[in-house]
This record gives sequence, structure tokens and C-alpha cells, in this order.
Amino acid sequence: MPTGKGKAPDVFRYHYAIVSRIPNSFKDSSLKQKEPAKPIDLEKARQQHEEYVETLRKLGIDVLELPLDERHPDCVFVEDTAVVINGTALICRPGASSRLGEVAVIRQTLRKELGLKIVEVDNDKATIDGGDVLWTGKEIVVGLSGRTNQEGAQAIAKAFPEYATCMVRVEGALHLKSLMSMAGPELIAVSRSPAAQKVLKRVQEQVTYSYMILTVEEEEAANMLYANGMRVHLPDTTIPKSFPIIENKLDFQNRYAQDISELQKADGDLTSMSILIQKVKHPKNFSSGVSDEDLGDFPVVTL
Amino acid sequence: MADDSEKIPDSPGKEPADLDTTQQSVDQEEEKPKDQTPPPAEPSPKKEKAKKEKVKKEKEKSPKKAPTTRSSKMVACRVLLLDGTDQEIEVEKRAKGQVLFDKVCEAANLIEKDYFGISYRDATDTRYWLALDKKISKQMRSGPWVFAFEVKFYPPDPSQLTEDLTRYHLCLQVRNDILSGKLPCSFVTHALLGSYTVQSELGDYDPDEQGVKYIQDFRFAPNQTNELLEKIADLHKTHKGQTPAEAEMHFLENSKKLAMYGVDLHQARDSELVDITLGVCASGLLVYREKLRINRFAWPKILKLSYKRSNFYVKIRPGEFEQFENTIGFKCANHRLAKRLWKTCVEHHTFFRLKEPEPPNARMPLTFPGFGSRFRYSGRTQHQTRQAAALIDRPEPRFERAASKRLTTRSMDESEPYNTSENPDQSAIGYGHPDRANARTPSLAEDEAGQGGRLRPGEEARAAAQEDERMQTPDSNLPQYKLPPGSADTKKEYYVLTTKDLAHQQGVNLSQDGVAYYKRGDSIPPTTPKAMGEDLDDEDAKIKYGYDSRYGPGYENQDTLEMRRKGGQGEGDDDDDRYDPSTEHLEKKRILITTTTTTSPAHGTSATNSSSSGSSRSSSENSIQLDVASNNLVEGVDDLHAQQDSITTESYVTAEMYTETTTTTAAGEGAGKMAFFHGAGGPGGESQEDHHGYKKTTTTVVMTTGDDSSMPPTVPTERVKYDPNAEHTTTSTTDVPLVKTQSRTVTYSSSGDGGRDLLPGELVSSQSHASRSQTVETTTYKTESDGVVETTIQRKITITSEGEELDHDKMLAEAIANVTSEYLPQDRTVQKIEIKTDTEEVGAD
Repeated sequence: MPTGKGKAPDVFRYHYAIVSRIPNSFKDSSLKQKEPAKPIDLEKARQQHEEYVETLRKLGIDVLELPLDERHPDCVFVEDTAVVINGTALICRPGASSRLGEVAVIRQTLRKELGLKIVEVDNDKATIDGGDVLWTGKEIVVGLSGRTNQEGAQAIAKAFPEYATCMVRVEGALHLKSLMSMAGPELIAVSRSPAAQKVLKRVQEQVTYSYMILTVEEEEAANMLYANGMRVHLPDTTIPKSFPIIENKLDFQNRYAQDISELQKADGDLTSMSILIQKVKHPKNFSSGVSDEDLGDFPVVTL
Repeated sequence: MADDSEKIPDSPGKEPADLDTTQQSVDQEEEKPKDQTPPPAEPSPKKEKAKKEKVKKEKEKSPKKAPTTRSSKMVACRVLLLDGTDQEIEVEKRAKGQVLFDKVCEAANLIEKDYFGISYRDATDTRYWLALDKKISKQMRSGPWVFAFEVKFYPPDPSQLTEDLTRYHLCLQVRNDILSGKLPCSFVTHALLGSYTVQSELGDYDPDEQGVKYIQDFRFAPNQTNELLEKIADLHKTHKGQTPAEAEMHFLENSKKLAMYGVDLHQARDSELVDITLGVCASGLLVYREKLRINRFAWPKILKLSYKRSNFYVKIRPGEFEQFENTIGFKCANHRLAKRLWKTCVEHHTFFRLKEPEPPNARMPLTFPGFGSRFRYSGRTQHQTRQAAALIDRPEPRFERAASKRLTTRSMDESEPYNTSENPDQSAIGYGHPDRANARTPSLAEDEAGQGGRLRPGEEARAAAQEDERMQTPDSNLPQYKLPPGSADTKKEYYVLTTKDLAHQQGVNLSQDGVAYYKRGDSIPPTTPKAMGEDLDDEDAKIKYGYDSRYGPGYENQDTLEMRRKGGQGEGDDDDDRYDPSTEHLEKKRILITTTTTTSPAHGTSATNSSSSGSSRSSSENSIQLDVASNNLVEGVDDLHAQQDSITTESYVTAEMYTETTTTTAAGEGAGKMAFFHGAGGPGGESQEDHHGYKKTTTTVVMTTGDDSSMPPTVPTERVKYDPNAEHTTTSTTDVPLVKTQSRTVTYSSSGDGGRDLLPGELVSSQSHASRSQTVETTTYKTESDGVVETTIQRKITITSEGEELDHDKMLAEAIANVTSEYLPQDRTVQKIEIKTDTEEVGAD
């Protein structure tokens, strides 16, 4: 009897990333939840961005750098413009109207350069920031934040019908992924902050599959980037309390600390600056980390 | 009476009382396995009459049935197979569904057939599953006998199927699901799955093929494009060398991970009438709003499933920090759809979650005539079918794979009808649809509830079945399906099941209805009777209806019900509705079904024994009720199961009859019960009713000892009567061999409360006679109060089985018939029916 069960594909295996360079307008015109205490140092921000790109390359990712676009001060945060899962790219409708124009170049790149199947949001009322879409490898959690609404969540569910999609309300943060992110397969990093814990509880109520939780201290420490078996996280200068936790709990060799302090002033985080893309030419399976154990072949009970 | 079962959303509180009955009757008829039919027991002459009318009606109409009949005996069935072909099968007109199913499976050469089923569609194109244990003719309301052979239970892991043939059929089903839109996929996944389909049907890619012509006749996706075909051809090249069976395995390994794989969708509305979709699958119940999943209840999270009219209820196990269960209500478009949803849940739960279907004994109390649908899944569970499949020793059967081409010709014209009802986008269907299903409902409501004798077309058969079955139903209730506890807390839990007229939740004082409460996490060992009492002392139980959700409207905890249990129980009700079994006005009746588990110490018997008799006496002095005092249970052990636990089951039925309408029943209930009942007194009377409950009850300990049973070991148990006011002084110890006792009490009472205590009554006569498994006790009292003399006759029938096989349902039905009809003089009415089941599992130690 053929088993048909190969090794489960690594859903966090990424081949390409799209990033966007920082325009001059980023310094003054980028959207911010709070004005930072110190103004953004544009040069330093660009330097950090370059380092970030280098780090992605160290992970074995081909990085496509888009030229800066002065009309869109926030264009560096490409994550919000598209959600890419299983060879399908949903072009978002960012919740901030100033950012709606950012998607055009992204759409073109995803289609022409990467040959992905493009799906558009067909509801004018829908808003989606990619930063609210947490792809766990098995299912999708959409944060209902100031930037993403229910219509947007519906659009995501429709674009990726293979996956269970649920939604959680997000308060006290810009995006869902400002509060939590995937730090590994079945591993969600989340901060101890009340806002994050509140949202985590909702997530745990809604999700289908079970996940381990890595609890960190600082809120921003919870956003890390996991790809190709490696993690990118913030340095100890930024997250002094969480850094030892991460050092202790995560594999030493497969970690990179990346400082993005200038970008954080405009609410940037590690995941927000790239769109990660898996590109398998001839897939044997669609991209899903769902295992046989997950599929409810649970023990039977006797009455 | 028009459109009753459609009405609920608008006027839930104004339902005519008889609608209840209607639905109930239908349920019983439709869902009751034929072979277990207890003989009819007639509660009243009135009912009998109604039934005769029905029979007559049926006879008049019968010629219209089964238009496809060829001869008088045989009927041609058209069965649409998974590969898109039709099969014509002749079955006897009176054949059960199983006959047809077996013939189809045989033709398909399928052995692992438990995953499959035969479906039919009603006028609204809603799919129903043919019940295999019932006659086809009773399920086909009208129209030709057209069926479809389909996968009913989608195996979560198709690789565990034994035969490729079975997997092939599952593949065909999944392909149909994809085409119909039931199983949505993105382009990328359509391409991948399509490529496996091509590999399995055409074999390796032929390099001589130009373009996509070779697959253009296949149907892969609802809206397939040339781009998709190109992608499929591209991927097809990479599957070189895969056998058809391997390609199908790959196909299924991917399909099984799709979010909607095997999810049976049902349209409903939440408590705020927002459209939602309920999905039933192997792992539990899913709730969607459009495409988003807004909630998920895994089976272990669900305590109980029930439906009432067009409402479907899910009682949720409380979370770690919650004290009470939530009951969440959903509204279906009509009663039939609510029942269909409920049945689907029951079947899925049983099939995937249980080792074996619920044994008849375990469900007996819940399926007591009049306590809702007795439907249970009776086929094999997945566990059983896997065990059976392991024994298959034939060589892999050969079969042809040629379905996709046929799918093409069949195209969408045939698969489309299959979309409609299942597709969430088609949710409008069924709602206010002015067609037959709805139009019929009123008449159904009328004749079955009101006994008007008019049958809806196509319902004759049902009525006939009902005939045989339990027309005597004194009450209707929520068809219930209680789920087994989650594995971890099995030992720690009490379930208190209370049925209630949830349909009245809107705008109706919920506290009128029965109340469920549930306490959990008590540190008290649940095995001490005292703990039970303490549990009970927990005064207020709340039930939340509606759906607690954070998203938008529709999910508020609409009603919070506070259970009024001051003084513990037996509290009088203000809506005093006299019970009349013949008319079955049930709306205001309360039924309480309790399930408690106690373990009583087997030692200390002599000490408690004396107090037992004393208490018993006082009990009979203070209340009319006898069942505690006079009951002598024999707890035996079945040798056959001496190694394991054995079960002794006892049921007893007590009916009290009164000559006067102004009497009430004392609520002396079974010992050790958390139960109490809400009587429903007559609206006019009960002026002299007091609402004391049975506060006077002192702790009553009934020692039940195994005596004349020759089967060792006999273990005495004690039963403690709960008294909310008295200090419990039960001298229970826990360090002795324990007997696990399961008691179930079902009480039906029409009197105003359980509080009519202090009616010592003058004993007029008392007699009892016993047979092997049954004891009948008749006690007559005379009481005088306020110048009114009332005579109370209490008949108690005790059915005891000790290990041997007894048809409890049947005996129970007979017993009820016995107490309610045979011995019921014209001028008397049944005041209360109480059913208790005590199941004892005697541990090996």
C-alpha cells in the first residue's frame, strides 16, 4: 500500500524576499503611532535596513530590493502590502489610505518576477495590512486592528481556502504581529505585556491547532523572523530583558540579532520589512504544516 | 395554523404548545429503529382515537405513494454513483435502507463501506441521509426514489483505509466536492490535485502530447481556465512512475489537510439572526461566518447536543475558570433542518469519537418515550470499521478508473443541484422558501400535535410508524445527545442534564424552564454522597444562551438564567399547567433528567441500616412519594463480567393519579439525586398549593443490599436523599470498597410543584406483586385538606435486570402504559411520572 507520506514540507522554507528601500520622506512623513522621542536618523535607518537585507541573505534568501518611492513614506514596510502563502499572493488593501498606492509595484513584482498567482481583494470595504496576518504554518490568524477589518479577514479566508482562518481582536498595538510572531514551527513568540497576553488568549481560543509559546519581556521582542530554520531577533541593546530568554531558549547557531531601532521609531519590526516567498516549481504537496497528529485522529472513547 | 416550524425566529414565545408535540412525534417516528419498537402504550383514549384517524387517513392516501413502483412489490431506485454514473437497483417496497445500501456497495465491490451512505434530496434540494435501519418508503416523502451514493464520514487519515478501492471512491467524492465548491481550493492547489487525478487516470505524462488538449475534457475546478490546465499538465510531468493508487494517495494526503475536507455544512443563524454556517466534521463542530471560522468546538468540549423545533443547541463544557456551561443556540430555517443538523452531529460524534455506538442501556433514560428523539447512530464506528477492515483477506480488487471523463459529460448540470444546499453561498435556500417543505409543516403540526387527523402528504408512512411506536408520549422534550466526558475529567464530573424549553428563550422567562447546572472542579471526591449534597447547595446556576463572541452582533449572552433553587428544589412554579397526557400540551412542563454518579461506601452498613429504615419511614410520612422507602434494589454482578465492571440496571416508574384537580404531588424524589422537578400545575387551581419543597425531608438512607441474588459479589450501596436544609450527617467513609452507582431520574409531573409536602395521607390500600424482573406496587392514599378529599394512587413498577439482557426500553414503555393507561380510571389524571434508572457498576474489588 503506498503511503504517500513524504517528509512534511517545511512551510517556513523561503526562497525569495521582497524588500523596499527607504525614501527620504520616511524621516518625517512616515506614519507613527507615537512621535518618537528622538527624530529618525535617516542614514542610520538605511544602514540598518541594509544590514537587515544582508541578514536575510545569510538565511539563504534571494532578496529583491525595490527602489525607494518618495510618494510612499512607509513603503519600506512591504509586509503590509501582500500576503503570500502556498504560491498565492493576496494583494492587500492597506488600512492607511496613504499606503494604498504601495501595492502596485508589489503586485507587479510578485506576478512578473516571481510568477505567483495573484488574488485581489474584491471588497471595497475591506482593509488589510499584512502585518495583521499571522501564518502559523497550519492556519491563518487575522488580527482585527485599526488597519484590518472583518471584510479584510473574509478576503484573506477566501484567498486561502485551504487553511482554517480565524480572527482575533487586537488592541494596544499597531498589528497582530506587533504582539506575536512565529519563532519556529508550532512556536509563537509573544510578550508578557498585558496587551499581548490578552490577544494571545484570544488566539488560543480561536486556533485549530496547538502551539508552544515563547514568552518574552519587551513587546517588540515578540516580533521575530523565522525562516529556513533560523531566527532573526532584536539585539540586547533594544531588548535587554528578553535577550537572555531568547539566548537561553533558542538555538544559538541559528540566530541573528538585527538592530532596527531607527525603523522601530516608525513602528517597524523585523517581519514588516519583507515579504517572504516560497517558490517550489513542482510541489508534491501544498504548503501546510498540518501533520497527521493534527488531523483529529484522536483517541476514541468508550461511553 | 400556518408555518409553525418556520416561525421561531419571529415569535419564539408564541409557539402553540402542540407544535412541540408534533416535532416530537415526528422525531420518534423517524428516528426510532424499527426493531426496537416497544409496543404502543396508550396514555389515553383520546389519543387512541386520534391515531385511528391517522391510520385511516393513511390508508386513503397510500395509493399515491411510490410513483415509480413497477410491480406491487418492487421499486426501482436510481442511485447516482460517485463516478457520475447511475445505477438502477430494484428493492422491495418495504425494504429498509440497508438493503439498498448493501446492494450498492456490493455492486461497487466495497467492503469498507461504513464511511459511505445513501442520500436523497428533498424538494428544496437539501440532502438527507437514508436511515439504513428504517424502511425506505418511510423516508421518501414523495417523488421518485432517486438516491446518491456518497461518502458520509470522511476518514481524517485516508492512508489508514485498507483498500485502494475505498480510497478511489473517496477520491471521487473529494473531486466532486471540489467541483461543487464544497471543498474550496486556490488555483495552486487545484493544479496540484488535478495533476494527481490525471496521473491516476491517464498514467505517466506522454511527451508526445501537445499542450493541454489531452486533459481538456477533465473537470478539475469549478471555474477552470486554460491556465489551470497548463499548470496541471506541467505538474503531471513530475509524477512520472506513480501508479494510480499512489497518485490517489497523494491526492488524498493533500485533500485531507484542506480546511474544509469532510466538513458538512449547515446554514443557520445565531441568536441575533446573523447568518452563520455550522460545519460538522470528524473533530467537532465548526462555526463560520462566511468564510471565516469564528468558533470551533472540538467534541471533548461539547457536553450536550439538542434541538428543539428549529433551534439547535450546543452545551459547552466550561473552561478552566468558568463555573458553568454555556448553552449556545442556533436557529435553522426549520425543524427538519435542525434535526438534520443534530443527527449529523450525533452520527459524526459517534463514528469518530466513540469506540462503539452507545449501547441501548446507556441511552435508555434519555430515550424514554416522550423524552425526545431516540435517534442514535447505530452503524459501526470508525474504530470498529478499522478493526473489521484489518480482517479483510481478499486480494486488492481490480477496478476501472474512468471517472473524470464522465464527470465531464455530467458536467455541472448534474453536480449543480448538489451544490446548492451545501454551498454556504446558497444560504437563502430554505429560509422562507415557500415550497413544499415549508408548506407541509403546518399540517404536520396540526395533525400530530393537535391530533386533528390530517396528514401532510407523504407523511402517512411516518404516521404509521408513529402508530406502532410511542404515541403515548406524555411529554416532549429536547432530543438529547449527551457526549461522553473528556478523557481527563471523566471521573470528576457530574452531569446534570436538564431539558428545557429553550425555544422560549426569547422574551420568555427562562427560569420557567428546566435548568441545567453543572459544577465542576469541586475538590470534594465526587464519589461521596455528601458531595452531591454540597453540590446542590450551590444555589444559583446560570445558563447563558446565545453566543459569546467578540465579533459583532449576534453573540451576546442573551439570557442569563438564574436558577431559582432556594431551598434546594421542588420550588413551585408559577405557571401552573395541568398535565394532560392526551393532549400533550407540553410547553410549560418541566422535565428534569439528571445523571449523577455516586459511589457509596459499602461498609458501615449496620449503622446506616437502622437510620435507613427510620428515615424511610419518615419519608413516607412526609411525602406521598414512596419510591425511596419501599424500594429494594438488588445489586448484582454479572459473572460474565466479573473481571470488569458489571452493570445492574433498574428502572422504576411511578405514576400518581389523582381524582382532584387541585392536588399536587410531593416531590419526594429519589435519594441521592441532585434532581428535583418542576411541576407544572394547572393554571386555575393550586390555590392550596404550598411551595415548601420538601424541606422536611431528612436524610434518607436506603440500604440496598444484594441478597437473594446468587451472583457474587453483592455490594450494598447507600442512597442518600438530598436535603438542602438539613445538615447532612451521612456517615460515609471512602476507604472501603466502592460501588459506582449511576442514577438517572426522569420525572414528569403535571402538578404545580414538588412542594406539596405534609400530606401524610391515609393509607387506603397497598399491594404489590412481583415477577422475575418486575415488581408492581400499588399504593392508594386518601388525603383530606380544606375539605377536599383526594385519592392518590401510586403505582410503582420496578424493573430490575441483573446482567441479563432485558429490553429496557420495551419494558419501560410497557410500564408506562401500565401506569398511565390501563389503570387510569376515566376521572383521573396522571399527576406525575417519574422514572429512575440506577446503574451500578460494581468494581472488581
